[in-house]
Amino acid sequence: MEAAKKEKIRVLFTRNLFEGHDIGLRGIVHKCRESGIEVVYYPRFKDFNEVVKVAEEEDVDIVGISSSSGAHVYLAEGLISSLRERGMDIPLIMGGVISDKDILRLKEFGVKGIFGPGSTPDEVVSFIFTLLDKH
Amino acid sequence: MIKGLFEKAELIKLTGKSANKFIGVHYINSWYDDSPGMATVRDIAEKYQPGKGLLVPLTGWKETKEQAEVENLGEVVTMADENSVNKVREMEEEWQKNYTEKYEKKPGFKIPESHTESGISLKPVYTPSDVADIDYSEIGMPGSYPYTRGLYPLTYQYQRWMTQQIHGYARAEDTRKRTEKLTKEGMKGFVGAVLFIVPDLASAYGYDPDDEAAKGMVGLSGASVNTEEDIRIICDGYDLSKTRVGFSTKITCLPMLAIYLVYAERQGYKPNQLIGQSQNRRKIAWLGQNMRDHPPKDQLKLQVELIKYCVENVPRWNHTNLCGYVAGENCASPAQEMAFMLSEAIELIECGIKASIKPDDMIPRFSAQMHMGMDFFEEICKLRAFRKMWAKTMKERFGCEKAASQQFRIHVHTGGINLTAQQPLNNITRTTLQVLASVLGGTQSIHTSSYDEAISLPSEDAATTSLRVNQIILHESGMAKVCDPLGGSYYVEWLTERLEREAWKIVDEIESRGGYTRCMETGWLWNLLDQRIKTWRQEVDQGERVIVGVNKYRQEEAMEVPEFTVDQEEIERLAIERIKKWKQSRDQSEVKRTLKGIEEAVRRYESVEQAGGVMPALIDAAEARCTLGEMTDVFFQVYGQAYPC
Repeated sequence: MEAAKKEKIRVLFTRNLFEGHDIGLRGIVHKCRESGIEVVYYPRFKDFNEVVKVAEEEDVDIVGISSSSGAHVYLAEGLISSLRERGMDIPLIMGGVISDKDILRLKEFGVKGIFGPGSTPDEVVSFIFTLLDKH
Repeated sequence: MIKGLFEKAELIKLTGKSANKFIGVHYINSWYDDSPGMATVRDIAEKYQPGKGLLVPLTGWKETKEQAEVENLGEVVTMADENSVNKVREMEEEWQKNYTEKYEKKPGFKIPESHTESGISLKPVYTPSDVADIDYSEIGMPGSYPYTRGLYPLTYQYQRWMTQQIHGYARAEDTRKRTEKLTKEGMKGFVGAVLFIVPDLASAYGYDPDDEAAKGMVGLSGASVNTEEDIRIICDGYDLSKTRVGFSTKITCLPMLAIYLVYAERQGYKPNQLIGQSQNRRKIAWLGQNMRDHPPKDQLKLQVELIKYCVENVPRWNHTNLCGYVAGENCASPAQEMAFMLSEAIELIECGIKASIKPDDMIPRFSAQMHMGMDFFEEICKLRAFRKMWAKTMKERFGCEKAASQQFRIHVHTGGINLTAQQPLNNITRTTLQVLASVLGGTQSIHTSSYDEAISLPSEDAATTSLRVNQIILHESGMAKVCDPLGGSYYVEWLTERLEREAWKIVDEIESRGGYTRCMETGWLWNLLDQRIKTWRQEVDQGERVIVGVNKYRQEEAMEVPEFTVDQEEIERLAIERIKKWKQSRDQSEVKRTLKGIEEAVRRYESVEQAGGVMPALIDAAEARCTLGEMTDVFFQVYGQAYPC
């Protein structure tokens, strides 16, 4: 795959226009950069095609969405179907205020990793390394 | 006032060649002032009293006599006489020797170096020597200038604090049920009910539910409120002259007020009867919540517009809710939070003056939402010190004579950032400490976060428990029996004074960088907070900052609490249905005409001096049944969109 040829892992982190929380995400962005991951930080998106477009143009290996306002299920469903429409098989991870019950739902949709409250940036980083190793 | 162990307090004004800038508006403020004049004063002080900093006797300065006018400000009221202080210092030296000897020998123990959240270094104990330099008239009596000990002669003995819980979810009718439940359980203002409503994500960001962009966001994080009809469902039957009404609005602040005023007038109320508040503090939401908005300069103009309209038409309305809360949620230290609030107020007042508003007409209607973090004593001192800074600024800088201008009324919002999703019941302990600190700091009003808020919007039971925290402190703890019970504590008085100094430094820095709005435009404020966020994260990850249940005392088995949810898709469907009906019921040509009217008023409004024309246009539009989304959209068409990062 393309991903293996690149020197560094590239991750797109984003959140939607309506998301007012980003402290958690910013911690993860800092940690990823320190760990040698290239981060494309797209601070807000209004519709899913924007994310698809950035992911494609920036040739990222993984997309991460932060959601703490309750819209995570809607966002996961929308983004995954937009990616599929475009024939893109980029894994999606999510983090934020997400309950255990919703974690199961998101996994069913095919979200690869879900980082609820209390997850640490280290956990996210090691998840990314492990996931892309297998990918 | 110049403080110190001296007989008289004196204010220095440089004259002659050195008088590059007036000095001595406030002793601390001036001391750190960058003006060349103040630098001269510091040089003189250093020459005659090396290393003593602020403790400068003015007598015996040859140069001073030539260069400065010294104005006598009256007696300094010291808290201990010099002789006693010297004895205390001896005792302290003895104690320090003893404890160093004793604890240095303990294996594996190092005497810790502590500091407050704002970075102020602490000693292990405080004594009268630490407050010897403090002038008691800077502390004063409750109800007297500078209001350090509280705004009124009696505090909670006369009037308990308000429990103002911000709430809202799904649609207006669901939110109304929550208001009724919380009111039944004891949520109240000073005279009547409290309707502090948080709009859902769609309306908060200025979209009607039928807007394509609002899809998936309706009914989340608040209530779908976009029309006069929604407001009617929330407010009907309440006596609006006694009910405190407020909508947690940022970019939609002006249109929401217009819709509310039209609703109230149709119910037979005159604008001068209405009480409540507009948040009118969009800049910090833009910065801290990444909210879509216009460039900061245009935001500032709209803030001034709202102030001008309220001062002239809705005089009992709190036109501006200065917000330390969002800064606190972005890891601002207490000193930074205080400085941001005061800097924003100073800028708004200066702009208000340009817009021909008298300071004494606008300043009494500033209110606040301060953050309440976990550094218990510093948070108490924050409220005490901020009242003092406010009083001094309004009196000395803006020449306000009205007591109401000098009295800063505080509403506290307990920190959301301190709540944990792990072991959520622990959050009740956290909010209890925060409410306690707020009460010891002399707040007028509190919103207490619910223990489940790191998981979802508050459930009814969790929100009721938040009220109970307040009621137990009020009725069972005896906390309300005495005014400012920590006043006179060596530590608290020292820290209040020290924190004030720290905050003035940041106020001065913001001012020297061109003011609050300028510091937002340049990204200086954003970077300041970003650094704090980074540090906070590192401290948590490395375990230097303990959060119980998160990085210490973790528990494998989850502590289950019920999760509050709304049926988002169904709420969205109903909200779209309702707003479509509303839009069909209007005279479309009036809608068009009045929206055009807003656009013209916004285009005409080029600088703050011209404030006063936009709100009337919004009220016309609200009368023509325009919606929140439609009105907000006009502003974006004219001013465009800007983001802090």
